[in-house]
Amino acid sequence: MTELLAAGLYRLRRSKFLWLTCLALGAVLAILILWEWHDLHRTPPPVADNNLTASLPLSDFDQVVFSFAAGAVLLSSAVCAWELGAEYQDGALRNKLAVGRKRRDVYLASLTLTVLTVFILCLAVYLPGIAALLCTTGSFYMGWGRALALMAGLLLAGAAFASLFTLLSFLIPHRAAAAIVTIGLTLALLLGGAVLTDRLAEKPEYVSYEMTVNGEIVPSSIANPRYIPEGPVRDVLTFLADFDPGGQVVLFAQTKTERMGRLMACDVLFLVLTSTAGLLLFRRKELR
Amino acid sequence: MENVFLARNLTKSYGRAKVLSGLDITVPKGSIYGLVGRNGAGKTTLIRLICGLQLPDGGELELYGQTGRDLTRARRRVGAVVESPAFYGDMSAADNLKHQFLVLGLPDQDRVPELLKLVGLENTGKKRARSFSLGMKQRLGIAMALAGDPDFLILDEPANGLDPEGIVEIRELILKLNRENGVTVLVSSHILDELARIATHYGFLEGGRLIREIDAKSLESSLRRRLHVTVTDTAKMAAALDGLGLAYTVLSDREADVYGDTSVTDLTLTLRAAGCDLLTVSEKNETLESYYIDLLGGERHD
Repeated sequence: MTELLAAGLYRLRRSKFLWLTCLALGAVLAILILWEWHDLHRTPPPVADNNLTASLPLSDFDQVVFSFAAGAVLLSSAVCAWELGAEYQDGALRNKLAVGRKRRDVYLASLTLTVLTVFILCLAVYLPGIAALLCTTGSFYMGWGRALALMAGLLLAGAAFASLFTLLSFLIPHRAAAAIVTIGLTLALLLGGAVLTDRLAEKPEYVSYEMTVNGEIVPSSIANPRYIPEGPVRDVLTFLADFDPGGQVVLFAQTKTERMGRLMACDVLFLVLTSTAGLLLFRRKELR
Repeated sequence: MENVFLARNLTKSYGRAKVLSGLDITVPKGSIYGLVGRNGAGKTTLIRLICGLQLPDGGELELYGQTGRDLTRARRRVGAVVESPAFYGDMSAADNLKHQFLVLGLPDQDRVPELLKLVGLENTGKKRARSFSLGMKQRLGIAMALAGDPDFLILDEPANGLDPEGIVEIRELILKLNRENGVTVLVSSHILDELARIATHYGFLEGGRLIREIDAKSLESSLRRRLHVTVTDTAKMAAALDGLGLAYTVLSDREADVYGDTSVTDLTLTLRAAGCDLLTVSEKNETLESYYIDLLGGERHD
C-alpha cells in the first residue's frame, strides 16, 4: 500500500484545486480577523467598563476561526469528491488494478489520502487563524487547552466525513453525480446536526415575567413545548446528534466542548463502519 | 508451448444479458494473439476479467499458472489499455508516467523520457493530457501500460483514433516489443488487415464463445485462392461448378467468386460447355476479413 500512498501524495501535491482552496480559505480568514481587529480599535466601546465589553468581541474572534474550520469541512466534500472522482472518470483506478494492486489496498490508500486532504484544509484555516490571532488578540480568548481540544475534535469529525466521501466516491462511478451526492449529503448532515443540536439544547422550561396588580414584576416558570423529555426518544436523538459528524462540526463551530470523549468515540465508530462498508462493497464492484 | 493466459468455460452476464458463455481461450507465451469479433462479442469483457476489473460468474482464469487469489500477484506482470486509455487528464504525460511508476513501486523514474520517446510524446512538455489529440491519448495509454516493463501486454483496440502514420508506429512498436523483448501481446481490433500484419495467433469470438482459435500459419494455408469472375449467366455457371465440385459465391446475376485450385483454361472450357461465357477473370487471395465473414456464416456454396 505504501506505493499507492506515494503515488497518491505525488498527485495530491499537484492538485491545484486543493491548494487554491486552501489559499483562499486561509487568506479570507486572516483578512477577516485583521479587519475586525482594525474595526474594533477604530470604534471604541461605548460603555466605560472596558473589561466587560471587550470580552464579547474577543471571544467572537475565536468563533470566527472555528466557524471557518467548519466551512473547510464542507468545502472538503467538494475537493475530495472531485479528486476521488478522477479515479473513475480518468480510468486511473483501472491502471492500479490491472497491474495487480489489491482492491483493499487501493481503497485504504484513497481513504488515507482523503483524510489527509481534509486535514490539510483544516490546517489551512488553523494556521492563518492562529497567526492572525497572535498578531491581534495575542492568543485564543478561550485558552489554548480548549482551542486545541476543539481543533482535534474538528479533525476527527473531518476524518469521519472523509471516510464517507471515500465510500460515496468509490460506489458512484460518475464524477459529477458523486460530487453532487457527496456535497448534498454533507450539507444534509450539517443541517440535520444543527437542527438536532438546537432541539436537544432546549431547556425544560423558560422563565416568564408577569406584572401583578400591585405593579410588581414576578418571574414564573413555563414548560417549554419544544423540550424533548428524558427517555428513550431523547437518548436516540442524542446518539444521532453525537454520531452525526455534521452535528459535531456544528457544535465545534459554536466552540462547545461538552462530551468531547463521547463525540470522538462516535467519530471513530463512524469511520470504522463506513470504511468497512466501503471495503465490502468495493470488493465486488464491477468496474468498466 | 508454454501458455501465458488461459480461460476455461468462462461465463459472465450483465443482468440478464449473457456476454460470455463458456469461453475457452489459450494465449501462448511469446505470441501476438489477435482477438477478433463484432461489437458485443465479449472481447472487452474478457479483457476486463483478465485485468481484474470484473469477476467472472463461472469458469476458470489462469495467468502465468496462477489462479484464484494468486491472480492478483500474476497481474504485476501485465500492462493493459482497456477500452479507452487511462490517465489523469489534469497532469502532463511525464507526470502521469511518474505517477504510474510510483503505483508500481518503481522509485527510479529514469525510464520516463525513454518511454515518452518510444510512443512519440517526448515533446509534449507540461501540456495537460486532457488536451491531447485522440491519437496522443492512445499513445500515452500504451506508455502507461508499458511502465512496469510487462511480460504480457493487453491492448483493446489500440489503433482507435490513430492516423495512418500512428497505426504504423503502433504496429512497429508491438512487433518490436514482441520480437526484441519477448512480450506476449493480446490485441483486440476491428481493423482486420492491420491485425493480419502482426498476429501470430487468432481467436474468433462470437456470442460470448470462441468459435475458432488458429495460428497464423494454419490460417494462411486455409485461406483459399479466389477467382473473381464476370459471366453471362451465373445460374448456368453454378450448375457447371457444382458438377466440378468447386466452391463459389454468387455476387450478382453476372458476378461470382470461385474458390479452389483450378486453371482459367479449365474454367473457361467448362463454362463454355455449360452455355455460359466467361467475360472477365481476376485472381484474388482470401483475406482475414473474408475468412472471418465466412466463419460467421457467409453465403458460400461448399
